[in-house]
Amino acid sequence: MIYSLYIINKAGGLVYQRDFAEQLEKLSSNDYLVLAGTFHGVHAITSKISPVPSSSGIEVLEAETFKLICTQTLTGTKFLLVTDPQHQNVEVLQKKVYDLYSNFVMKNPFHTPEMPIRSDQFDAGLTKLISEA
Amino acid sequence: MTIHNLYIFDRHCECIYFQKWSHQRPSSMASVNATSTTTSSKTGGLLTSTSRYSTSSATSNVVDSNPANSSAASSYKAGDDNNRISSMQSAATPGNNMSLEEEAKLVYGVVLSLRNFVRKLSGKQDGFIAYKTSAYKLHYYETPTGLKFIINSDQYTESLRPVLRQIYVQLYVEFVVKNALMRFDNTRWTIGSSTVHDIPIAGDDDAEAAERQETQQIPAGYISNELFRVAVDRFIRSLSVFE
Repeated sequence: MIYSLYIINKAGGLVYQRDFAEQLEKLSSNDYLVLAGTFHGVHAITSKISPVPSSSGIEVLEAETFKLICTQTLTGTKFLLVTDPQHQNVEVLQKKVYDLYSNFVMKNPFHTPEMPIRSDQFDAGLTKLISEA
Repeated sequence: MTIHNLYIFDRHCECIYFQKWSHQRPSSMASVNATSTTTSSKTGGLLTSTSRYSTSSATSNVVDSNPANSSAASSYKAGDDNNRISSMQSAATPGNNMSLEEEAKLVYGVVLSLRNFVRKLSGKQDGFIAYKTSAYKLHYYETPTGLKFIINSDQYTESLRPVLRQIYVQLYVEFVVKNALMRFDNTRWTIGSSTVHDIPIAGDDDAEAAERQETQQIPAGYISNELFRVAVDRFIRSLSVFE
């Protein structure tokens, strides 16, 4: 089960946040911005404190009530998917989310890069994708 | 499967214990830690090793078949006068010249941020279990008193939270808390050759407290208990995930 999706731009700003289930706490939009910034910083530090050479940043965060999977694109945008702790095959879903992002966000001529995403088609595509998953 | 290192933090964000397990071959170990290897072979005894921070080689058990000797030799000193945390080389990748003190602060910062992140999202007090990168996995366990146990392993290891809990319950409580020489110094536990005079008295002023801190050999709170170090080393080595 997918709980929510966050998209963080390369500067650590939250450009998209959406909940798909009620399992997680509801926070104010300001809190979500703070969480995204925190995660961005932590992601950078986790590659520095690695006990072995050349580690990436944090990829999976395991908690008792959820699991967070982070994928970073080559351009530095981070996609965070929050799922239930037992969820499998998130990679497939991540790729589909990225497809939607490229089709309905990046190809949108009215979208300003690094700014919050406002696209009805992206929203609709996500709703469809999550309900199928 | 490997276990890289173990940190213990007290609730004042102070790193009170660090231990590292190196999985390199002895030959390459010698070039990295030339001084510490020679010191250990000379002194090699259980009581002479006073450093709080040690590096131990995974192969030392094979080299030295005597079990009493091997555990002592494996937790060797980092140099006679180098037992300050700031002078130790970082536990992170060799070549990265961050001091252990700096690294411990970063680890604590990451763990605390993620703990609060999880708390905020899930609304539960004790939610953060572990995180994984492409190269390692960090496991986290916090006691109700705020002690934080952190272990780094390779990314395929199953949750080590039970292991951390066991280190707390069976080793920390047994060898550190039940140690008669441990002294409660207002906020921190400390071990050392303290006299009766050193025990904090109610109404002690701050200047006196600061003076006492300075005269102390080991900063308050650090676990300098060699028995604990040996026991942790033996326990981690006995795990099936340690190779």
